[in-house]
Amino acid sequence: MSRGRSVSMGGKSVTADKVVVCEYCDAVTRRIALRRGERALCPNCGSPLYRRRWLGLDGTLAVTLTACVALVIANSYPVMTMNFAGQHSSATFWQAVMTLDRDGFVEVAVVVAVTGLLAPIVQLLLLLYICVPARLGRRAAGVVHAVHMLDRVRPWSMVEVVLLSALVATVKLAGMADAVPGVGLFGFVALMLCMAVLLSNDPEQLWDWA
Amino acid sequence: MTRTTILDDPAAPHLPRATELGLARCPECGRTCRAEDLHCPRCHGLLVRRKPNSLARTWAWLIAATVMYIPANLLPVMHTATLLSSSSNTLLGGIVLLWNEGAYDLALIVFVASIAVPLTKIICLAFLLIGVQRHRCGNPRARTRLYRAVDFVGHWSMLDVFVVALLAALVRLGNFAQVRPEAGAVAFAAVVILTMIASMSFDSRLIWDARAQRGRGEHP
Repeated sequence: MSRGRSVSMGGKSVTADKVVVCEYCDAVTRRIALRRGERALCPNCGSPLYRRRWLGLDGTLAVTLTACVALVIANSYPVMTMNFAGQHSSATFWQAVMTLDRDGFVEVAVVVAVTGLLAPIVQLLLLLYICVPARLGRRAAGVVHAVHMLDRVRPWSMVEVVLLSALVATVKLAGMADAVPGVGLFGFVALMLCMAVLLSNDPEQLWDWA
Repeated sequence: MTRTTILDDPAAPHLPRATELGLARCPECGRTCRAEDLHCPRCHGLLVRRKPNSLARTWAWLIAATVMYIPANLLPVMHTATLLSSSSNTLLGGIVLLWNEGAYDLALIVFVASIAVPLTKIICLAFLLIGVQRHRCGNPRARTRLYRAVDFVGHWSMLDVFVVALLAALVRLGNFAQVRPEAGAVAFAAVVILTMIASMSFDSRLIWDARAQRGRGEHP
């Protein structure tokens, strides 16, 4: 469609697709093919420019579905359980959020719910919305908006922070009681790993499927 | 692991900038487009060259974050009540408690993530903003790297908020003990979010713009 667009650069004509503009310093460089394990960095300012598109559509779908399963497990089972003087208590992530809300801190509950749970859910659902029709050879309605939304949601997904906080909480309680990580925590670990894999792929690849 | 690429144009010993070549980067999808176009051909996003009103907006979010930093540190973050005693901990108080319990590495993590990082982010963003506004952007490469570091590290400060949430939910043993989050936690969450948004509003290309303007002698 618009792949053959020509731009002249110092007398030489180059297609706009073969050229990359750095978002951090505005320098223009030529797009080159990357080998396995390589990333392109801007030679002017050293910022990351683009990644290798190593995870195909099938791979992305597979990892996304795994992440969904991990998410369900992470929220169905308690993140941590503890025993204190014969009393047993356990909490899932959502129970922690509800406790905050009940104690009157709605704002904190909302923030925790969004960054730890809702943003990852939205991310995964958007990915499915883009990739499943693509796999079936069709285009979902409003898929352009879906990709935009995905780019906007990404920075607000903080699963790894949730995990480290569970570790800190375990240690803090260690003096008082027997705190043990629950199945839900391992679900979050699996979710985090899946997200890491998805993020290591070039995000611009989604536009090829949109 | 890094590869460099240089445009093979002998007339341009330095890398050309997009504005010099009549190009623009689509802020929505990253595609290289012609500067004279209004919309990106791939994603139909509006082609703006720089983040709109970047300086004013970044300062606004940054000042708001600084204002919230004060109650975040002075007000108690957490209230712990057992049968024998009850105490309210500020951020620093909680860190001292962790240290005294022997969890030195965790006390350090919480100190770095909850006190050092937000303060450093605010100072660094202010430094970058002032540099751009005074047109003194020496070593723009280091400044750009600083900006990316600030952007990257931002969300780890949410750690403390999550810890309080988890503890409050867990230590619900009725009459034996209770942990409740306090006002300081709300202020603290506000600082983290406000600095994140401030960092997202800043356009690091302004650093290079200021540098280019200086080179052309437009500003002393």
